[in-house]
Amino acid sequence: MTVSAAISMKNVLESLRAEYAKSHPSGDITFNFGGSGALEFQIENGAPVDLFISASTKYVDALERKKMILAGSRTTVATNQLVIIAPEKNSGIHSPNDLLNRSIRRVAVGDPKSVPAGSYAAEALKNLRLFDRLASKFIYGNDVRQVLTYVETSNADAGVVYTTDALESKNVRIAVQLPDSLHDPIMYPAVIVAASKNQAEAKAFLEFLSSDSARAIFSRFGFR
Amino acid sequence: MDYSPVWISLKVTLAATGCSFLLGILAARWRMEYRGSFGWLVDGAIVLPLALPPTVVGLILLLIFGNSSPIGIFFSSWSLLFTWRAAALASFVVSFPLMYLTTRAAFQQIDPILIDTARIEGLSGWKILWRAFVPLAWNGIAAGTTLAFVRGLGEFGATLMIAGNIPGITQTMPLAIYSSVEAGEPSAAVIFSLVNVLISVCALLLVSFFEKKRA
Repeated sequence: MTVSAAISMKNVLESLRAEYAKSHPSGDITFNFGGSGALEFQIENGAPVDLFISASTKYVDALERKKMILAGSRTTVATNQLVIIAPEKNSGIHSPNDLLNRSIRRVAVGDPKSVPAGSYAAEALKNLRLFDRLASKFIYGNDVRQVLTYVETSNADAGVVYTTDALESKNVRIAVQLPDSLHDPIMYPAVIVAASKNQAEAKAFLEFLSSDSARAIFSRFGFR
Repeated sequence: MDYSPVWISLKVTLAATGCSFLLGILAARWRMEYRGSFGWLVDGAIVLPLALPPTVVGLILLLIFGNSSPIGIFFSSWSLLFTWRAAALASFVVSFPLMYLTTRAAFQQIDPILIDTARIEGLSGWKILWRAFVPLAWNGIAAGTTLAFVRGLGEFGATLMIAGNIPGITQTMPLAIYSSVEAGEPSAAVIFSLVNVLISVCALLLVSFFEKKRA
């Protein structure tokens, strides 16, 4: 069975597969990791995929409109949150307003037009009435990983990424956790592809992803 | 560490370079003879993958070979998507222009009198190609093949689109580099980058060694 999944879930899904193999020794899961948009386009064009785990509801909605997903299979397997991060040595950010401090010269965020984490960040900062006031400090990354790298290398004094990304890096620290109420929920929906020839297997893995043991692994990687 | 990306990369790139080598020579030879008015169109179509971002090349290949197009339906029994052959196709499409352009330029440098002599002596078209064109243009052909190999080895965007990023099946070195960087494991990325560079340098050295031997 082939699972196409957002590359941001690589580490957690590999752990989940190892856990799943304990109770399903015969199940053989192959991962295809990439950007959610590209994965959706592959499925639309007939790539042999059984289960699709997206980093955004947008791409699953698109497949749903085209009736390419198994009805009733849509499940939210995880959620995520936004955090403000800073390079390890740097301190002084205790609230979002501290981003206005003169010592913070550059703030890295994902490009709000193309990077989901960036559009959530923009939404949250707009609700805090900070977006326009920080406009001159923003540097835009092409993906969350780039934002993380800017901060890791101190090329940016602060950045906004998902909790899960911040936990993966040893060279940044979480300065502020942004409340969920500031932005639309960050959800990771999973669906079974209608054309899948392994729907029973896909269903079993999808059910496992909602189990208690899977939830424990998700939270170990910072997902909720 | 899993070294399968090295072997997959070599398999994919050698297959793609083999195709580029044969088809590049044939296409360049055909283009030398063709006097019609659509030559620019053929050249444009061949060179297009050099001009376009590889991701766009991948999108186009996915549209052509996906099951929503007539060609894709024709190929559907062959199930190309997500196989190493799809990776080889992506590698071929982006590296073929380099082979074609270099070989064509080398053919144009050949003194036409030599070709005419071969023709007068009654050699067939195939014999003229393999006995006259190829040996006379060998340095150019070797350079084109090397360029195609090195470009094919580094191919990423189009491969990710049509072959997927499946460890052990289609995950070439560039895809493994992408995956490990995204997963916050840069050490694997560094190793594969070094192997990639090493193989490319070896290919270049091999060609210059043979060039010296001939000279």
